[in-house]
Amino acid sequence: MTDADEDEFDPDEHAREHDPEARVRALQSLLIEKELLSSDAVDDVIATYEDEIGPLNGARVVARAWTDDAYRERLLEDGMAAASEVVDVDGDAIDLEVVANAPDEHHLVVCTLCSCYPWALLGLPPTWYKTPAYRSRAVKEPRTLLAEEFDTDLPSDVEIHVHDSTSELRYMVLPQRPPGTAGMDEDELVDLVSRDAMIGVERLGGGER
Amino acid sequence: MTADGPPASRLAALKDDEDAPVFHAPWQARAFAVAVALSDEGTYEWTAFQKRLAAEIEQVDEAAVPADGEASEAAYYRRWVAALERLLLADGVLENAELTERTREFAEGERDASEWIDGERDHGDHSHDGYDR
Repeated sequence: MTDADEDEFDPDEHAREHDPEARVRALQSLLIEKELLSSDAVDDVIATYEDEIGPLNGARVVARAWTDDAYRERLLEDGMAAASEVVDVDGDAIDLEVVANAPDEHHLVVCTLCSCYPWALLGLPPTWYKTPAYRSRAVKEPRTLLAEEFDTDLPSDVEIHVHDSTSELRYMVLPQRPPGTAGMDEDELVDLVSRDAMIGVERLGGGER
Repeated sequence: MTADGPPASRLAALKDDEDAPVFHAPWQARAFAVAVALSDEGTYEWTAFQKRLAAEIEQVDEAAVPADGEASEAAYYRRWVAALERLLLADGVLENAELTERTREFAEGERDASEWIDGERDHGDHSHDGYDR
């Protein structure tokens, strides 16, 4: 894994020698010195992800799609462009494919290589999403994974589609609108949309059990 | 909106509610933000970082997975830091010697976070020996 041009540097050795706190400080310090990073940039990014970006964005998009058929079509056509109509995100920032659950279909999102995830709409991924166990089992045995780890038991006639997110294309699940919600307005519907349903480890819409 | 019943096994042990903190330690937040900010500034393409991260993660996938969330997050962000170090060195953005030296300075307390705080910047004491800027 070591390239010829960096053969003097052994990150494993480096990591054994220094705690990550010092390593990150060193990176930040050098990058600021080289004017590749402004001193505020790091704080700004942290504040944005801690305070502004989270699964509420995705929930708003889903609730709009549940109440507006034309919007739903636009969302399935071009995910980020449609999302930017509802929440404050850059419609060109990433390519997002929104995949819609149906009575006989269930979608599940994973990143098998690392942790690609639609941050702008869901915030940062949960811990389990980044584990080798989730990343491999989602592909090899999604039905068992959902049942054993997430208590999501899908009927055998519901087909599971697994989508592998990459840095070029990320996925988000459009869950089914739960039954008994006909009288709810968009704001009330937002509260029903969980992060896990938009990843696909939970199933809304009465398809469970 | 979580499913009924207790979670069954070890992956589920990592499950937290959606109100869990975004970052579990300040250094993890900083590591994340440095990588994102550099991409935003055009120092590298995000895909280049992602590729390094995937390679780092692949290396440790066979190792035992930490059973609790804190340890799992720390392990993940250690790979993140290693990916960032490797990418910046490979691209020639940073030199091996300066990174090693600067890391030592922070580890041993010769430098600290006050250098980021306006007005508390200490101009006199930092040694810049050993590398050229």
